[in-house]
Amino acid sequence: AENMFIANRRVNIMQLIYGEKAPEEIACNSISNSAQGTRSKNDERPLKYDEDFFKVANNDTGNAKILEAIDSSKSYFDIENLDEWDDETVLESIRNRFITGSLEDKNP
Amino acid sequence: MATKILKFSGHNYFRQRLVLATLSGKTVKIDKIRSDDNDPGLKDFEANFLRLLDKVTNGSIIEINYSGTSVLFKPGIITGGKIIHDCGTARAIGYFLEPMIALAPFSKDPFNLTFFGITNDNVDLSMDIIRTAVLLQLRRFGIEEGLELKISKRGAPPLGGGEVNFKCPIVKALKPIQFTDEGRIKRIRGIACCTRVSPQNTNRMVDAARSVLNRYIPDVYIYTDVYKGEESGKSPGFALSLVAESTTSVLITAEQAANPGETPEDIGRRTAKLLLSEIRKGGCIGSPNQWLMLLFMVLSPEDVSKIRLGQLTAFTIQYLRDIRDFFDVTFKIKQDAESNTLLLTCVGVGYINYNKKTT
Repeated sequence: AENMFIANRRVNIMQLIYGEKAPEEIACNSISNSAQGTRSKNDERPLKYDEDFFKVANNDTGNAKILEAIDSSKSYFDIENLDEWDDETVLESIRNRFITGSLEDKNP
Repeated sequence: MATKILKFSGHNYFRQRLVLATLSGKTVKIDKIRSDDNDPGLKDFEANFLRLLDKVTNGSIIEINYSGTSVLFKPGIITGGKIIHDCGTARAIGYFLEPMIALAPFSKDPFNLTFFGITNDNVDLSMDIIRTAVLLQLRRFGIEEGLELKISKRGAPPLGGGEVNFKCPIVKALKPIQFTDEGRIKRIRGIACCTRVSPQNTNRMVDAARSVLNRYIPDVYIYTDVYKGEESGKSPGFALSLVAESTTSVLITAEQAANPGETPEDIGRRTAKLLLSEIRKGGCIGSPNQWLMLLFMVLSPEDVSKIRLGQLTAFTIQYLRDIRDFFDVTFKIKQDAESNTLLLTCVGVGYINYNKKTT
């Protein structure tokens, strides 16, 4: 059963990336998806978000500037969330990505 | 060869489609470019990019309709050679240089490009990152000798005034890569630069960045790069770029340039935090370079290439789709649940540059 689940998920992530959805939305969504790991990728919520996303882009021409900036490979969409790096536990959570971290627990 | 025309709409992802068209030799038509906008059609920098593309190729046909909302591009061959281009000030040089890096190895003559414009800003990749990280990644594909980016003048927004020179050798074919080991970060390097402001600003940025990063490793060294007089462009500004290198020479980057009113301490800390969040994403390539690695994997010989990536950016996802449209290559994407990363595998199309004689 576990193997089937993993195989299924692989198809899902390929469907997700080569699917119809706007890439911006997948990129935003994949944070929560990969963080929770097991959540189903094709639940209803992203679709609703999809509609909202296009409405805003069409109505509000002010958004054009945001869309404009996307033709750049440098997209730091998490620039607002940097305050979390003042928190000690968050800082320690990536300790193992450095050579100074302990070798036993290799999970980043 | 190019009988079928590929059609796209919208102004987004403009550069990558033209670059992929040039490499694949397929004609591309992009319409509905801001057709509903108050200011319809191509922007200056996009027209400028078309001009640059025309300079580096021979025999390209570019047709733009009267209102500028539709572009037909029939690619010629990539000729390269010595080219001088003024990038204007709407976008930084990175906007123009990035796609050129993708074309350069497959040119007839080695590229020797001189660009004028903005070297560091917050929208496009800065010259420092391209020099210290992006170009080093090309080594994995066998592009090594003669690869050079020289920043002879710096230019901060809004007026720019920078000058860079990019040289790239040509190759017959790329090498496939197997790049799945992230390793651990062993050192952090960086460049703090300033133009037309007190050199003290660079030291303040360095101190602020170190205050965040030194808790992880002591091996943090940030160069200060102060340009004076003519070499410092037309506008005052300062910027910081950081590169973290792992034991398997994975390079992860972050950079920030100052907006008006920001202190060097703000920039230093913000860049350091950005670097940390890039590191947390995992993967063997920092998010700005994902597309280049994937493109070169597709262009490598008919062999399996494999790469581990962290979170995909929107830009990369669209790139994967466009690669599928142009080269008919679909990546096999596998999620590694243990480390929250993605393994992307593809078989190259065996792209060969016939202009390069056998070595």
